[in-house]
Amino acid sequence: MSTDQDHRSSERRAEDRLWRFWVSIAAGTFVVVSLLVGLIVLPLRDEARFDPWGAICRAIGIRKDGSTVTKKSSDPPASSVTWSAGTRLALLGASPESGSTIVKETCAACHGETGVSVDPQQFPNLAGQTEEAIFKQLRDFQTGARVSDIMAPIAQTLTEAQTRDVAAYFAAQKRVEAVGSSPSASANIVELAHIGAPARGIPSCYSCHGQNRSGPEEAPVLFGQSASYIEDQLKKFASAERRNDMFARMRTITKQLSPEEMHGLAIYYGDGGAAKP
Amino acid sequence: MPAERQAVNYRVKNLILAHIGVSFATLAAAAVLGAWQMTVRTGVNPPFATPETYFASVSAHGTIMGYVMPTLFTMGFGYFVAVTALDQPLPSMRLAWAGFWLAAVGIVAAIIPIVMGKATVLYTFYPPLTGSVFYYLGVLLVVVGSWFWVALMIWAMAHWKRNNPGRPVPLAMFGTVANAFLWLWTTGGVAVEIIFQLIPASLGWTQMIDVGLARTLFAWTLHPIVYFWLLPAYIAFYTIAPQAAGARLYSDLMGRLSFILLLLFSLPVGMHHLFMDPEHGTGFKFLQAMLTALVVLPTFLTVFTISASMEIAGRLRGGKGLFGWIAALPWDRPMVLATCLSFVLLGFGGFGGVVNMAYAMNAMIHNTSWVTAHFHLIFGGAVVIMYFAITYWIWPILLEREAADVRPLRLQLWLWFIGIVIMTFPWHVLGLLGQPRRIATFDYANPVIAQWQPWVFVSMFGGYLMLVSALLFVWNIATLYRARPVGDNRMHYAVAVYPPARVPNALNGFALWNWLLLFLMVVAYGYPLGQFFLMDVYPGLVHRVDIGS
Repeated sequence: MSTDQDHRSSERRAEDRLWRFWVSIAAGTFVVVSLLVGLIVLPLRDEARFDPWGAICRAIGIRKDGSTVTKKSSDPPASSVTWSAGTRLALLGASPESGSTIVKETCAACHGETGVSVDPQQFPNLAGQTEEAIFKQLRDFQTGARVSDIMAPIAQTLTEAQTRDVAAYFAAQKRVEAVGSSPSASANIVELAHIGAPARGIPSCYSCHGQNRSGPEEAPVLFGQSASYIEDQLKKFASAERRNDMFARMRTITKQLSPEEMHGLAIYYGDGGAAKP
Repeated sequence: MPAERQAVNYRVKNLILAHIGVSFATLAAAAVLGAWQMTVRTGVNPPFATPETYFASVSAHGTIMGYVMPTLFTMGFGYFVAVTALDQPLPSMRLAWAGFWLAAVGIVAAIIPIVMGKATVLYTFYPPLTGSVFYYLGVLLVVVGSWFWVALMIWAMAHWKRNNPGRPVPLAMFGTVANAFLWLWTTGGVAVEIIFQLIPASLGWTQMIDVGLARTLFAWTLHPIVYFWLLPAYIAFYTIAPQAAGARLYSDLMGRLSFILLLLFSLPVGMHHLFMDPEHGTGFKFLQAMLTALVVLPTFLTVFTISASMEIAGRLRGGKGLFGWIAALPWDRPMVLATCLSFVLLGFGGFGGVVNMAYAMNAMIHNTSWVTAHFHLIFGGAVVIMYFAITYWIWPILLEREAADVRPLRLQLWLWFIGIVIMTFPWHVLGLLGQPRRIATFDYANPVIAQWQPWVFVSMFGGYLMLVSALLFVWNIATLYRARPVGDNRMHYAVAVYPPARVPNALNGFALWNWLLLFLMVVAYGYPLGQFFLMDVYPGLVHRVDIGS
């Protein structure tokens, strides 16, 4: 009787082993084959023509040079501005009239009383710029998210409510007539602006910087700025000297741009410094 | 066959009635909200229609239908199965009631902030949006309450196996415990997201939230949660439907295999919800797409086995020829009718799902109404119609009463079926036309968008049919309380054609399968989750919806 039971339980154990063995083989084979196809075969088939090793790295989700494999979670946020309901409601309640008084006293010397800059190469035109863009930059100057020896002390004299009023005032002014879409721009610059360069991970400029506005709240309107100002900012983003762009959008994009492309795009968007009210 | 004919004793009636009762009470509320949302989308501006109320309503509808209704139904049905299939009392009534009350408190805690407009984050949470902390705590309480149920199901089966060495666990209980393990695995992702990301953000302890990590953790939960909803329907297919049709189950073994495969292939697959997301490499998306495809195995096993069981029933009733057995089936019985309707909906929903899980086609319908159509067909259609049928089967047993007339029951099932078809088929078309989901209002003055409007109106009509059906269901259950007492409270599960005398250990427990699942989860999610802790990531700024608005 006991030998019969022993026999049966050893039979059971043999059966269990068989199940474990075949289940492991089946699952292991399936996973290995899927990973081979997903991480190596398909990336090579689809993308080999420009970069086989890069294609495999992308399939894993890493960069070829391993540049992102460093943890920098201690970085401060790019900006402390959030587009919450609270921010929007506060902006809705801003007063251009009281903004006008502050502008005359504080801003007009450089940016002009109506937001048309006295020297667009150094100081951007603010007339008709979006309220959100001006508000965010002023807040960033105040918190130090955007570094400027000139603007930081000036912006810090304003309360948050005054900051909103100033933004509302400039936003209400008539924009500097933009030359825009420079007809002399080369085909690849026009393509960068309108389509971007998907292979390099560059979205089109237009997707955020349209004729009036589009994209994220803080994206400024570029038409009407001087080319040299735009080019300067692009370079600062590329070198990460300027780093108040949310989600590092502009730093990521400009890192991929060549100096010639930055120059071309700046001319394409800019008015050549010839501000015409 | 003592295991197949058991009375509902052991003082569990109120426990089961409480779970399923609360479940369907919330369903009725969700049906009203759903119909109202459909009306808003047509552009006719019903009362209270603003974007704020619309998204609050969507949040409530999703929270009920995602976390509350199916969870409580599955818990109640699980207690029913544990007592009737095993013929033993629950291991701990106190624990079961504690789980129920935790969930009940959680439901109230979650719904109040939604109604106040302080948790308009939809049931999928969408960080960096964060709502009132009470909402997350409420959802967490529902989940924790359901973990009590998981413990009781596993405990009950282990207890039964100790007392019945060598005997196969009854199939209904095997499926229920498969679902309990599935749920335990499933809730891991969302619990981590709520506890470590959403609650700290909603309390203002953190200003930044890693959206990619949150989305990945939620994807871990979002697919298997649907299988958790689905499994009670499958348990009914295998263990009740053949009995209702007057025959036997074609194969007990197929049932066990299906439950195991559903457990395995529900979990390491959620990344197919993230095909269009940038935070993951294509290789892991591909692996999970392949694992997703394996769900055809348990699906086809089930369709084949249940069809075969039904054919046996049809032929026993005198059906002849290739298709004659279908006509000979007892279509007047709600369970038989619902099983067939559920299969039809599962077929259409599965077709849409294949499009979703195919990487290239997914790009075409991503975030459109097509996706909404798919999960309403599968869950609102195929699964909920079986919840109705299961309730029509077990509620009379619990009350020891019998409905005098089953025509209102059949009418209710047909209304639900027709309603969901009319509602979701136009959504598929709208999805292909590019209509985005999660949008409150459309500018129908735009000629491109104007062509959507007729389809939206048709689907609204379907939504109202479902509302009528849901209310008729509540009426049908209410009238049962005045129906004729029969004094019979025995539950009859379907017996297999060849009832297994013994089954391999592998098909009588879950140890092997939980180990295998651990392996698959490590392969599928190990690096995709690990990368967030290795890489330089740019978290999103927390956007709290409950302040400033």
